Amino acid sequence: MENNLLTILMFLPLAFAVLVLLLPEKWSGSYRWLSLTATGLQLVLAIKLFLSFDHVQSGYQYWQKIDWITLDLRSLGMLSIDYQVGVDGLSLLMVLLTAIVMFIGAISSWTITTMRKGYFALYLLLGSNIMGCFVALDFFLFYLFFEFMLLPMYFLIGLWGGERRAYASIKFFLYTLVGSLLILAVMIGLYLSVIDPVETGHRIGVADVTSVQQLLQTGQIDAADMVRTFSIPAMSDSSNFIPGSLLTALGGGDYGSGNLRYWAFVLIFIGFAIKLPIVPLHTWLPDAHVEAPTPISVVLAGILLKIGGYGFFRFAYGIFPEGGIYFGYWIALLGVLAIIYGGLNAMAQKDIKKLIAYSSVAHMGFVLLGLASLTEEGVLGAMMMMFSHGLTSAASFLIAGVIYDRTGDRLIDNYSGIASRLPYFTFVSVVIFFASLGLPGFSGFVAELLAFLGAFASDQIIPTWLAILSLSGLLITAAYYLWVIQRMYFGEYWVRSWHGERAMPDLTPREWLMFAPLMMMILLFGVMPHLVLDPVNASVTAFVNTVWESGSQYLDNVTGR
Amino acid sequence: MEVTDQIPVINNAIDVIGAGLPMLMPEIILSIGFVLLLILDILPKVSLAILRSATLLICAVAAYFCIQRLTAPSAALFFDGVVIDPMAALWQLIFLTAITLTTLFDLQMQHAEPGREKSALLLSLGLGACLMVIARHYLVMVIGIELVSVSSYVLVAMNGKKLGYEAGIKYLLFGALATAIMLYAISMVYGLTGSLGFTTYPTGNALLTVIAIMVLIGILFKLGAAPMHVWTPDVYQATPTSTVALFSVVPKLAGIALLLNWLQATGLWHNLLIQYALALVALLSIVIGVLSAIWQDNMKRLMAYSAIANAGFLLLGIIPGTELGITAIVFFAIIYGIMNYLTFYLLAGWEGLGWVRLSDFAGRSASSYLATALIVLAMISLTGLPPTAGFTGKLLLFSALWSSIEQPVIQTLFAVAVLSTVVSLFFYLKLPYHMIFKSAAEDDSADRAAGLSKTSKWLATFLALPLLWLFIKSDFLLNFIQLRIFAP
Repeated sequence: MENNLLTILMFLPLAFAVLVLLLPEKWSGSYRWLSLTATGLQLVLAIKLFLSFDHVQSGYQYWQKIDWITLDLRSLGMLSIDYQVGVDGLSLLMVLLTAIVMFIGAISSWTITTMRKGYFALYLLLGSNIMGCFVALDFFLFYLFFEFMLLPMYFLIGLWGGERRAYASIKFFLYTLVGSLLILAVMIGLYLSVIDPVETGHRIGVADVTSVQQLLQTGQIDAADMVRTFSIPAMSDSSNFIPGSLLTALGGGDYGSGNLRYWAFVLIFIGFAIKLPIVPLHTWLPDAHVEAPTPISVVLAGILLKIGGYGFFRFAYGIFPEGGIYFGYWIALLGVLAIIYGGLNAMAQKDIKKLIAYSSVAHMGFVLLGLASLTEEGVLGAMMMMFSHGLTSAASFLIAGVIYDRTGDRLIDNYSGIASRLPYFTFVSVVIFFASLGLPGFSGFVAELLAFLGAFASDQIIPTWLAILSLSGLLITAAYYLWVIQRMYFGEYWVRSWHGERAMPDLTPREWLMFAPLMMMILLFGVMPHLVLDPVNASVTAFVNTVWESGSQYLDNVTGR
Repeated sequence: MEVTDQIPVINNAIDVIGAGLPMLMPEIILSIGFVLLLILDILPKVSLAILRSATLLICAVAAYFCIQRLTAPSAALFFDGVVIDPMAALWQLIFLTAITLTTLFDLQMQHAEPGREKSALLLSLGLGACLMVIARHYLVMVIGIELVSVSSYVLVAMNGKKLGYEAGIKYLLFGALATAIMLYAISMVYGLTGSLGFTTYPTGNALLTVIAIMVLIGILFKLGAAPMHVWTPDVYQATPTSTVALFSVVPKLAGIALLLNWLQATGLWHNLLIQYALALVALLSIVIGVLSAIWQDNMKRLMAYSAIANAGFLLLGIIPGTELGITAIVFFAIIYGIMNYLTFYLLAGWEGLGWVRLSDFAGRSASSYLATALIVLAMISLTGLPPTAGFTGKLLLFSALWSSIEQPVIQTLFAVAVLSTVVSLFFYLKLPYHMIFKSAAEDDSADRAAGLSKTSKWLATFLALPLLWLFIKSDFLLNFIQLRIFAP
């Protein structure tokens, strides 16, 4: 159990998905209970993982590695693809968030009435894939989950979505696929350049990893004896790069119009930037959000976007740290651009779901800003922002879902004075929106504060004017949230609906069940942020130090200084 | 020279030929089988089922001897006219499996009734393909190519429909042109080198490079690669679907195997000019294939363009000229065969229900969720997304390219090939899109319940499983390929 915890976390929903597929149609009422059970168990396990996570250690925990595919490439040595999973501080919060959001999404899926078998099977499959992305430590395994996630998502949006669902789902699929192909290109380059020191040691009969790496760097290992690997920990250590290979960090990889490692960083960055998404690669997001059914919007905003952010940490910065330093200024600039552009766009939206979608774009700008700063505060802020936004955006989309469920309409202009009829719903909405705009006392505030602190503290990468400019994001965020509250919730009550007069009941118990835990967590982590920051602190410190140390060293190698 | 002087020479030649014949068992069995089926054809009492069962039997016997070749050391026969090696045996097994599958389709689907001669023609096509992969001599090569071509022309035109004749003639004219160019080149090779064997090309001879490109044209025609691809869509559209499945696999793979042998035997593998020419062909094939497929409304035409693009992908493995490239080609070829057979098998079943154009498929997922899931799997695999073996195949091809990424040509190819996946996703998803997302037209609610038969579904599932299995355990097949083709 202890050793297999991550595996169980990952495959539990998949097992239930198979169960859903096998159960006959006449028991279709049980599907939602099954999906609730699966995500509930997953949540319990994720909390257990979170509580037993060792705060002091910065390495991988619950690490597990099993040989999967071993291939003889003859003159190129061996190729080893492993089933390798583990969590560290960079992924811990994301694992927890995935479990929380998938559970909330399962409750929100209660209203799905058509083609239930397909829906719940795909939903659970999606859950497995997302969890897999966060715990995979083998690039091949990660890529499998990363791409295989698109197919369930495509069908979930395309079959249970709104009017323009077909357009939105294929747009989502194609955009994200472009991103993952860029990642694929880098992945191929990486596995051909990196060896697994342990397995190579087995082959040449040297047990000590450091001596294997020394032998490799001095060119004493025959190419046919090398074991090429997809292992992410191996890729994050420059000593494992084959000398003379194109992506080696130790100089000599220079080629054509610039170092290939820069290109690799840029490709992988764009790949994940599409997922996050970053202006100007964000245009799939509003469409996908608006057309997706509520639970899928929740999952999409709550966790799917975070895979993009996590990808920056684990892959872009983790494997190519010098890129983070070299392009840091531009990344911060993109972040600030997203904050301002996303915010202004959100302000101009007429559709409440689109507004929330653009606010996601803006919030993800903070992730970028915090990460680019490469300071401890900034990176912690980025992590916190991903976690906090996972909770608030999930809740925001649930709010949009509540309104849509009652009237079938999402246009802001069609509502006024909701507060007078639905006081509880208004209370919930105001709390969530305030949390989203970063009011002190809520988790979003901690995240934004840390990101700003990081931006100001990072003299080497982010100029002060950029940090000051990013502050304007606060103002814009406050403006569009307050404005939407004023327009929809206050004033005289009326609802304009094309579907005739609809009853507007207040929150149902099921809806309370979704909102209450989310609100409590938002408040809890806002007042006591150390609950989530402490466990990840050690990893973040190690991350920042490694990026600076190795990054500067690689930069020197690259420029030949 | 006296006549008597030549007797030992002739005796020696007869000895060599006599010694070589027993080694050619699969080819001989196919030849005998072909003749046998021709005779059975004209006997009035023999039913189609018997003809097809006989085909299956002959293929099985031939395959038995091919399996023995897998472990035998490679041997050059008939004065180096043919070389029998495990790799050729692997290709031949693929061809025999393809013929078996096509025959099984026909046995099982009664609606697309081809002529009685089809069984015999399948064997002659198979014989030609088997000769193509062992040929090390231009005459053997030409005989192989022509056997495949002539059988194909007839197979296209024999369904008795106007569209079939038209496509058959088009195919014939293109084929004749390609053969003519190739034969002309071969005659010049003979004039220059005095031999019709695949001898090493002297470098620096401009004429020989021109000749090489002319021979290439003949091979590319079989491969269905751009710019020799023009016949493909019409032929695919007009031919019975079980035959199209065969066309999309056997001649193409025989072409790529022949190309590989020819490049290796003539030393042109690392010739820069040929490499550039092949890179251009691969690039054109992929670009033309995927861009044209977007606009297709008929599924068979769409698959024709997909086949053109995949010819380009197969060529990707040749261009770097590495062992990894060859492994990638063989692996991708096997997966490609499975994917295409799965797709065409489902298409054939649906064709029997009158569903041909994309719009005919609107809302058809309701007819069978299993069939829908299988076609989604086939299309995802053709696109090259995990968790299917199509992904592994493309990953290997891209890896082969990457290991020679220093060359600018390869960089371009790499970028185009990787990004073409996006476009291909778009058109491969069209069929699932129509089946799942579109709602059915109201007038044909009567045959909504209609669908594939149980046997069809079993056979399709049987074809689909390897696509998943070979993703999860790709090393199972890959290590087998490596062991066989690079046997020490």
